[in-house]
Amino acid sequence: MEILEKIAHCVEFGKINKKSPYPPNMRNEDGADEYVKEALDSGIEPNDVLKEGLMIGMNKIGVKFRANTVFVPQVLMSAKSMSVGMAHLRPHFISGAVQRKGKFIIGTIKGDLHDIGKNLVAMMLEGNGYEVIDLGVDVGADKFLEAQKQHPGSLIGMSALLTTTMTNMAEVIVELKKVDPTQKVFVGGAPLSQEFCDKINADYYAPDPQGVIEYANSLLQLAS
Amino acid sequence: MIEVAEILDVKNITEEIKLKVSDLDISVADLKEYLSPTGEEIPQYFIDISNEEISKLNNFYVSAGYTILPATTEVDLLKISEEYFNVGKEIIDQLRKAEYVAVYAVTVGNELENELLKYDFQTQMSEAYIVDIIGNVIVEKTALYIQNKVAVSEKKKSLKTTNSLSPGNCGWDIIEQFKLFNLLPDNFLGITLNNSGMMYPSKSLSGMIGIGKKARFLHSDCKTCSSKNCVYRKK
Ligand code: B12
Repeated sequence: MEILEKIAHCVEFGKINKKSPYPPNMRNEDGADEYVKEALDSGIEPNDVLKEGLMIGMNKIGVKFRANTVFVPQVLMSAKSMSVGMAHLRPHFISGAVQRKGKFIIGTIKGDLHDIGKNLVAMMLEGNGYEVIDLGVDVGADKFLEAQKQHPGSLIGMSALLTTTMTNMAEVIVELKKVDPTQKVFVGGAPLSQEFCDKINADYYAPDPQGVIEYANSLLQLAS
Repeated sequence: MIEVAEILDVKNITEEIKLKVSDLDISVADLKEYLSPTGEEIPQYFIDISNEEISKLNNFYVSAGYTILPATTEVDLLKISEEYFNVGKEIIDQLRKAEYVAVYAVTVGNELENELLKYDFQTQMSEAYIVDIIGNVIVEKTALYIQNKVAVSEKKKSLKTTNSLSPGNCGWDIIEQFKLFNLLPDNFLGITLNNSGMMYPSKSLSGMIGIGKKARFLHSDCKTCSSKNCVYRKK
């Protein structure tokens, strides 16, 4: 296997580093940590390590998660492997040699504290090259507007698990679009549907994080 | 004819209970809904972490308590101690035959909540996640314990109980948490509410259980619920 493939493989299967006992069939083998370092030392472009290695692995696990063949803990092992690899790329982000795809602001809507799903979406976005600004839980229009102002051009996502408060999303969307009519707003959470998304004038609904990533990526392609 | 008030030997009783987590008998099986909702095999590694964390958390305590109050329905509102609740159609229909309600809250408390946050999510994601879901199961099982306790003790008085009904469910707005907590003693179990009605410690649950001669327990019907991705949805 070529080294970039090995990196993707480690991320897909959640092999963090040599020390990590998970997954059992890769015990005592090098992990994302070692391979990313090796790749950079051998002169491979940091951008290729990210896009042809780490992100490929993250995308594969996202697809498996969508298909329900792996669950949150496996995804977390992948995300962890990804972040350990990313740590080696940090200097290259700072120098500008590697760039993030864009910014994504995310939060659980006002009146709601459920954040497991939102955290997963945030994690997958990060793993796919986005800079995530996580506003936490119980987030009202004021905080979303403030973040929109601070990070113009960002995509915005809202999560809701309570049927009685998911309607709060509607007014936030109105406010956000008043400031920037081109603002793209993503919505999600167990009780939501495409129908509800259309009703509140949101731009995109997905039942899973992979959908968010695919749509965000497609927006980037349109822009470029 | 004997009135329900006479059957219920004490009116307006409040009970507070401290439970040891080990009494809740938590096992990896309880985490399945979160670890593998479609029944796919859970890797041994996660089973091992879960078992290890459950055994540590077993030494902690949780708090639970309830108060029983007379309740009536007026058209579509529920009335308890001069407080009117707009609980929504599904819930009011379940409470029409109730003469009393047990208003309850449960919480892991500050000490256990802090313990549940001991792993840094950035560096130990899987551990942090597993401990977090064990926390959810702890508070869910504590609520079940209370529901069961109320049902059993009312049954001795030949009274029946409804399901547990909570603000935030069906059409019952979470903002009515304030009214619910007004029915409980001040600073009940140390739970506080923020402006939106969210409880802190966040691993807390609240609700009401209807009590009456003709109260009925209804198994919730997943088919009519719109939460298509619900981890509890019966396939
Ligand atoms: C875990 C949980 C809790 C935990 C919260 C833990 C936490 N940090 O989030 C605890 C036990 C504390 C809790 C408490 C309460 N809960 Co609760 N909880 C749940 C439970 C069991 C699971 C939710 C979950 O995490 N699912 C797993 C995640 C991964 O799924 P998800 O969030 O849907 O996310 C996925 C997708 O939707 C999508 N997605 C998510 N966000 C986004 C965003 C975007 C932009 C996109 C595109 C996609 C997307 O991607 C994710 C991954 O695939 C649900 C029941 C259920 N089965 O859903 C009830 C549930 C949501 N809770 C409910 C309620 C009412 C409450 C309380 C308000 C009850 C009360 N009165 O006490 C309390 C409030 C507590 C407080 N402190 O104030 C109700 C809501 C009912 C309703 N009709 O709205 C539910 C449905 C349970 C029920 N049937 O009664 N809860």
